[in-house]
Amino acid sequence: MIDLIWEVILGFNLFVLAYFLLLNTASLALSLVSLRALRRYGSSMRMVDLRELISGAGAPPVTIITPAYNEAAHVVESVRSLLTLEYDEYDVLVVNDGSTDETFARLSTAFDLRPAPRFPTAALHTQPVRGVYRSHRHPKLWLVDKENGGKADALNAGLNHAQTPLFCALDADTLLEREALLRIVRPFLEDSRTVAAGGILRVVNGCTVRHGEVVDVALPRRILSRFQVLEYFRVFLAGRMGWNALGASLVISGAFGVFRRSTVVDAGGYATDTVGEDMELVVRLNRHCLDGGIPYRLSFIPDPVAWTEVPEDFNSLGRQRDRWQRGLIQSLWRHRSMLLRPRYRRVGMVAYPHFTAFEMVGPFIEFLGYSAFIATLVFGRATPEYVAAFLAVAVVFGVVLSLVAVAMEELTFRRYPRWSHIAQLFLLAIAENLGYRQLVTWWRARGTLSALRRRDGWGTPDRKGFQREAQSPNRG
Amino acid sequence: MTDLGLLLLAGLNAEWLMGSLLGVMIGLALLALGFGLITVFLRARNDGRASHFGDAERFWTPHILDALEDPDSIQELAAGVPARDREAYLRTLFRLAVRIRGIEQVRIEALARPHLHLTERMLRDSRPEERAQAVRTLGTLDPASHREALLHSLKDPSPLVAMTAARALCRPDDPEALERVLRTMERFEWWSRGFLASILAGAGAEASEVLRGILADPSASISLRAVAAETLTRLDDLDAASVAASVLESSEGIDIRVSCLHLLAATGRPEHVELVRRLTSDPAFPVRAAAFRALGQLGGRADLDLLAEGMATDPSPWAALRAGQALLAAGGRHILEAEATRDDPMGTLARQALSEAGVLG
Repeated sequence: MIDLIWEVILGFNLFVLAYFLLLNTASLALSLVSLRALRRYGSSMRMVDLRELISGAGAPPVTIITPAYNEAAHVVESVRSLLTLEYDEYDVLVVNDGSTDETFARLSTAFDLRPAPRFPTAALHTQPVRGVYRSHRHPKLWLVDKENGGKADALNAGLNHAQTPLFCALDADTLLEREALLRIVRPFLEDSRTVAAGGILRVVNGCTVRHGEVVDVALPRRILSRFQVLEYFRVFLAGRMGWNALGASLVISGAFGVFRRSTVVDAGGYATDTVGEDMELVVRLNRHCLDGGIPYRLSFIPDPVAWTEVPEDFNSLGRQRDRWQRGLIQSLWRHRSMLLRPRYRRVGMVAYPHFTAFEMVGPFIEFLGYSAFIATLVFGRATPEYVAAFLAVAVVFGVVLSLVAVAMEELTFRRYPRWSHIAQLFLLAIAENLGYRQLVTWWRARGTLSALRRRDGWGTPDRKGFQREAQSPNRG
Repeated sequence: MTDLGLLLLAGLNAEWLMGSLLGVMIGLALLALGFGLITVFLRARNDGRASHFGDAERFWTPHILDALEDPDSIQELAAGVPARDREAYLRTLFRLAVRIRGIEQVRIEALARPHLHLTERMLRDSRPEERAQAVRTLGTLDPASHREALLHSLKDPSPLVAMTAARALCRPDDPEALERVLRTMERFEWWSRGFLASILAGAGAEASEVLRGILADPSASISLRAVAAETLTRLDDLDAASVAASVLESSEGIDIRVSCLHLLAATGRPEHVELVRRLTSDPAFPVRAAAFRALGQLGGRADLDLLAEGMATDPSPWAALRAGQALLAAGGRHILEAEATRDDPMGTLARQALSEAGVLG
């Protein structure tokens, strides 16, 4: 019997080796696609004088919709920074999602908010709106005060009150660079089929922030946050850029993305019954446009930057990754009929299978693979060939992928200016494969399990809102 | 199957397998090392280039500014630029050229001219981004001398290069080039109309006649005609109003009708009011919204009832909003003030229209 168990474990080990090889090879291929796309983008940007472009074309008006739930600590600073963006015509629309702290009171005092008329231009279902306010000091600042319904519900309330062709979904604890809006609307000017564009998120922990602006970029002090810097490089520079170059984007970050308002409203707005409303919306936009024969384009632009705080402790990070994984699974499951359907083109035939095999199921297989590897080692069943093979495909390959991401950052944006940053990033690229990556795999595997365990199959989201999961002490 | 075993096996011996795996490990390690070295190389190269360009720009900027004041020194300065500084020198000129006009622009062209033959060679580069960069440099620093090269670039297979050339060629003094640009506009079907119109408007009022011809031409594409209408709106071309009116009578495309209504709102005359009134009941809401807006500009008190009805009953919130705003523009403030007391969406709309105009606190 024991021999049979070992036969199964060793057979599974081989499967895991093949799986890791396939996963990392696919990731490397995607990184190389991204590398080429980033080089081309960098060259084309040299030709563009953004201000000239936008002022000539007439900047399309944008409404920045910022849902806020119990954000009293930072909301005034965040909104103040939004009011100083370099952009001609934009509104800032904060949606107070039934906060139980002083979010509303602080905003009201700081910006002299008073009741104001705002005719709704859409009728997406939301929790009741208690009132609409406008700042007497900053006429472009609006506030929709509503009962708590969660982030997606708050975004829908914002959409109902947006009166511009484009809107920007932005988390309340995310800081936009001054030029970020100028940069991110560019695809809407260059291709009128563009329905959504995503920008890059970077880690603000460790940076010096003054008056809502990052004035000195540095790596975070805590190791857990440092690893996330590398992860964000990989996700945005290697992943999103690559999928965009392949014409198969499935995700635009909920923390910072610009959308064509009418298309999102026509598609039904944000789904309120998922914890991954950002991915679900983008998958649905793909489906809505392809089903309806609507010419469309989704863009990822690597230089409009939003700075976000990342969790600095294990519990918060674990919860975040668990939630992200559940959101991903909910989105993929809800639109599973897109999988391998030629009518959904590259999204259905390339991106969907990749996300299903490597992002949805992957963490579970990886976690079991690590467990089996350890068991094989502990019980002395591992041969040198197996150990070498596992280390090659699971660890060394991971180091390669991280170093590609660091090289991409250096090739294009060079936000970390000091040589010491480069040295630290090299060390992190090696170190993250020796514990951190496995930990994240565990959290994601746990997220997969918790998504599956829900009574209705995929569960319902928490209704508490979207409170930040970690507070950084580093905001200057 | 007690070692990696029997599955991988099929006659492979452990020594061979170990050798292969070692090869893979070494390959991956070399790959990692390679990317690390690339990163270090890029950092060193970028730092070096930034430092060189910074130094060169700091050196050349005062000399160039002096030459702009003293035209006699232009030839001597241009001849004295060493090859290693050429890129930084042209970049400095470019930076200045986009900001200034008039006689200083002519002097900048003279300073750049001796060095642009190298830039023109870049037009044959295999990379579209480099070609577009060359087009932009030539189009900014000396467009007249490189007119033929720019016209040729309109046919470049890369839309980026062609668009950059189009922007360089839309200048007030060259209507013939404008015609050539217009003939290529079909390529830019998906670019935003506002953006295309802003490029074409760069050609100034001299372009109006050509644009009116395109707007009236039923054989031209709908998107191109809509761009022509938007450009004429930007140029405030009064003669275009009658063309827009006749297009509105005969055309069914939503985009072109919306663009023509924008044109009429800016340039229309009383004889166009009846046509605009009719379009407030068009089945397409973007047309109704544009018609309400135009009626606010062209109409008068006789249209207050129609606008009030549009505000109250139009099923599209956008059209209703435009009707409310137009009501104020047409002199219907008293109607809005009466509606503003209501506690329903109509009241909200009326209050918003009054508030936007600064009438409501």
